[in-house]
Amino acid sequence: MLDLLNEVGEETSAATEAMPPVEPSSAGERQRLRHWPLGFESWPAAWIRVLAALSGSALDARELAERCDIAPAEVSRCLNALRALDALDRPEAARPAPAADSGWRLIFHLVGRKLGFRT
Amino acid sequence: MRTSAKLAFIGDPNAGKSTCIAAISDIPPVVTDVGCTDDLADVKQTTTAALDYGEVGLGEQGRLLLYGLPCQARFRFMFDVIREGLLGIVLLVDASAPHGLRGLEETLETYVRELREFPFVLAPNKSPGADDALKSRCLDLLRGHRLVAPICTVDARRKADIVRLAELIFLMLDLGGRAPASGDLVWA
Repeated sequence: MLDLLNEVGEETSAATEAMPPVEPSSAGERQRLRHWPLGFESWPAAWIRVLAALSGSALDARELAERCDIAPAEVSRCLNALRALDALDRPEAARPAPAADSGWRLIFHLVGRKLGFRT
Repeated sequence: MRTSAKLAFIGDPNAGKSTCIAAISDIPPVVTDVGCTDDLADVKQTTTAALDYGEVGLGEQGRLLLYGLPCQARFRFMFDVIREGLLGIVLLVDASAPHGLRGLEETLETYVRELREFPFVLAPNKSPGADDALKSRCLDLLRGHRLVAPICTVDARRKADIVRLAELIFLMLDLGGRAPASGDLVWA
């Protein structure tokens, strides 16, 4: 099991290290998902959070890092991977959707605890 | 106060709606299967004729209600019955069906408006193999309808697979800015 985890970690690390840093010209632009990558289930959990965020909202890199609670560098790697797959759109006049309220957070927490969510 | 949030499982006959609900429900699912009397009898002995139902208990705070809906256009009205408090949709596909993805095409035609309104996951069940090709064809159909959703092949009998689908819907709600306001949830 440990070998498998190490192997997956090395693959992910190699894949993400090979990617260039996010282009400064696109870092502040809001983008949303054109389609979910077919192999997303093998992506890191943090990247799946980015996919979930971009599936319903147009967000820039800084907004994504805040909403998904992950490091900006990780967001950049994920956005680069999505760009390579032509999976991003740049909608005109996009505004980010509002954050979830506390009533919703309670439901999320209860269902996640009961069913055993991992992400 | 107790809340009743809902998840819907929609799919063609034999796609695994009742099986999905049974995989995560805390109660024995209420199924509305009747004997097939048409061409479907060649494929399966029974089919869902109304809403299937199950639920996940959330203690004192409420329940997550699970509904299975047939995909056929003549049953479309059932969606409006469960719309209030609905969080998202699991769109099931019988990947072993002899007619290929015709059932998915019918479901997309029938529910395209709702699929733009609610977060959903497309879940081919009973895949005979060649998952990549299958998922690629599913993606083409989604893009043809300008729909964006994750595609996950599942075994509807496996609780872990169905939990993963629910988790993706909850993540899209939570992080995608699509979470319902408290006032939109059904409180009792």
